[in-house]
Amino acid sequence: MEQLLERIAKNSDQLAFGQLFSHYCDRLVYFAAALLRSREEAEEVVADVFVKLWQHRERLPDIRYFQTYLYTAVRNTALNHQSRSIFPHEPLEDQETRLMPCVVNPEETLISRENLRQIEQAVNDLPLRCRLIFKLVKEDGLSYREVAEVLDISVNTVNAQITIALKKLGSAIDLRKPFRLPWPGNKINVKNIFAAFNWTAGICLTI
Amino acid sequence: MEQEQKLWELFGRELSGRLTDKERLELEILKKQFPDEARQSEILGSLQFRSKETQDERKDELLGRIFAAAGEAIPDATEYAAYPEPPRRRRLWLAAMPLAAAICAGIWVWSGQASKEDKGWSTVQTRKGSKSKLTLPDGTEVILNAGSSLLHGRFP
Repeated sequence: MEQLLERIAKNSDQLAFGQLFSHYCDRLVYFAAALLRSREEAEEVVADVFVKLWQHRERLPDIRYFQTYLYTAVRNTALNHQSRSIFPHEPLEDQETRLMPCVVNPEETLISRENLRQIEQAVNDLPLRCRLIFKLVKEDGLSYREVAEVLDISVNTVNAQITIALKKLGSAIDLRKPFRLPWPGNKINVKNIFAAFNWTAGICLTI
Repeated sequence: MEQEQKLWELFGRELSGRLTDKERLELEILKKQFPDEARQSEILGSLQFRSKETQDERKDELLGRIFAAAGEAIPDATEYAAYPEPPRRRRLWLAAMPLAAAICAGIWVWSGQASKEDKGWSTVQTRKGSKSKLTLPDGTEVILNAGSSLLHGRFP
């Protein structure tokens, strides 16, 4: 990552910048969408952040805690964006902030389709803020401190929210249900299947 | 009930990677005390919670807009490779073709990985009917004719 930032800063390397963008795009758009409830606006916000990043690229390697910086920049830009609209957003359906639980190692994790469904329900029933915090920690790999800084809340709040989320998700798993592979038949080379769908080698509920 | 809560709290810290040794020990004890919750937490830990992904074409579009907004000369049809991150995407490896020269309208870029160790390789490819100019990481300026590919990266 440092190398990437160096290349962007010193050589104005557009390819490297493209890689940087590609790497962070999904999670930053999700984050912005959680704040703005609109994907289009979320993409605009993330794009705005990256425009500024490019414009001040010579300073990139000097940024301490680059990840935190990125998320904070997205949050600040999102908040500014929001105040522009006269009417508050009332989204009909929160497609943009849905999470889909996936089994990463099907050979190792035996979970029934039913349980996966229950978990999906539970995670998307979580209040948005709770779900966002959960996502930031579990998937994006932010520390409690980073989340606290980015969302401008206390570490205790993050801790509490994560505990709530995990407890709710955990209790959605019915251990009495028989554990069977969620897909029928013999050994399938799942990596090939999902490579074709441009996914990681994992099972998600829609398959 | 409070102890059970503690289990989830500690599990959360484990997920964030910030568990002290003392806490780790405490978690182990709690897991033995609450085997159901322990199993549930293991399952949760093994799952990935994915969100809607931006399609590559859309990413390229956005990138183009970003550069355009930043006042860059490269036109907004510029497209870039996905970051070569091992657990995520894997793309088909495109063969390199000889490089030709001209001036541009758009670039298609695909990133291929022969193996997980191969980082930093990219293939730039132009559409039929458009040529491209781009700057390589070492500062070399390259102009690609229409329908051509350029493979670049660190050669062993």
